[in-house]
Amino acid sequence: MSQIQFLDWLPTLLEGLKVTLLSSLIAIVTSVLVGSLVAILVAYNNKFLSAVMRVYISIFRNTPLLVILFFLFYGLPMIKIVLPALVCGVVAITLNESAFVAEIIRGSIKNVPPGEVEAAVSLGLSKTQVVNRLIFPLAFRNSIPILTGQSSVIIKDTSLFSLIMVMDLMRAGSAFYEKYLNSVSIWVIAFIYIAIFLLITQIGRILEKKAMVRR
Amino acid sequence: MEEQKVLVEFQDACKTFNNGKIVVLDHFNFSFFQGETHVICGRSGAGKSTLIRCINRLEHIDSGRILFEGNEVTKHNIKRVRQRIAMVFQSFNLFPNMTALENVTFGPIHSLHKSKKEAEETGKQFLEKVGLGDRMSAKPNMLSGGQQQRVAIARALNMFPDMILFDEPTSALDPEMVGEVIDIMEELANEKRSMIVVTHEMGFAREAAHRISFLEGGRFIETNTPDEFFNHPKDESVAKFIKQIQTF
Repeated sequence: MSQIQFLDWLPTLLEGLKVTLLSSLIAIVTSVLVGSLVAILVAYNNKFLSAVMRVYISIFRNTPLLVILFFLFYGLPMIKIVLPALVCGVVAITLNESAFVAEIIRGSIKNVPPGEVEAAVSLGLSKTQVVNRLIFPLAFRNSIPILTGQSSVIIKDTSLFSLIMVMDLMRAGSAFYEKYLNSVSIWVIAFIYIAIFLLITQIGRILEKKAMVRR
Repeated sequence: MEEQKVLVEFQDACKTFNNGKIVVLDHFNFSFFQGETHVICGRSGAGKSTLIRCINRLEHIDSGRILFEGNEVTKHNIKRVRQRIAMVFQSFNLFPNMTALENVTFGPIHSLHKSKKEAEETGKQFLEKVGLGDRMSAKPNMLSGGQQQRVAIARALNMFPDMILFDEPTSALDPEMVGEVIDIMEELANEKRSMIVVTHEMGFAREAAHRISFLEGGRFIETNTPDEFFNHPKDESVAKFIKQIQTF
């Protein structure tokens, strides 16, 4: 890769990096929010809500992300719903990953010691208060290490955006290769992804230290 | 005791486990009075903890009624009953993500809807009362077992309850920490707080209880003052139990 080629490619690379980071951030936030909501609704032990949420988890956890992505991007226009490619990408990840997040948090909810729940109940708190004020915060904190790992998965997921023509980091790499027939750009992209994951791992460790509930 | 007001009353209460194979309460009738410290003892598995857990519906009776201040405790009024009957658990059950002060103010803020300022003000007073004025910002994992149980007692007190249920509060403690919890419970007993205490601490029962009951076969087979209970037990089982304890 010559200096001229690199300088020519740099704006595309930065644009791709920006799209990857921004869409990852949004997808992480929405996946965690939706996943938390689903986990909370399951935790209420309402038969109907639990059943609906379990179906949601089952459908979106077992459907490949690429299928959801193509369904939103190519399938929905058939019924006159056309979403921007980036929106399709973020929504697809949210649907898919929120199912995993819900399962992670649901697992942590199950691990909240019943004695602590009883203590809150014995103070006169309602079921909703116990779930919202005690069980969910405890479960969420305990889920942080796994959620950090899941955030890395979400970042990796965004590389599929290149398949629906979103100019993300992956597509920026491909663009260079297509223009100059030089695969060095793929090395650059790989190193950038690794750098992002190392950063996420560090952030995760800090969060884990701060939030982990010791017994 | 006849002048005292009945706070909690069991009327023909039945409770079994394993499809009736294990009888915990067998047409149980009893009244607990306001201002008394009532110690319940009995052999392991007799159902002492289940009995007090039925009062605040952590366990449900199969039949019969439990009254609090003359009103039946039902699923409709249980929240109000729980706000007025606090409980201290065997394994402390502190909220691990909260500091001692947050543990103590959690109930008043979220259940009694007191302001944070008011809850903290009284919470600090109760933490000081149990000797933890300097550990308010410590999380449970930074406290010893005895300290954790004292926070749990402060948490109960900060609800300003009409009655406190103690479910074997010293059983999970190392022997050297039992004393610090017992001292506080004795202080509370001297303040004439209404307490039902399930315990194996016979020293506490002898010193602080107004009445002691022995649970066996789903009923109190003997209820007496500490002096009578320990020195002149009427029931043979109780006499045997006391003898066994004294052997230890």
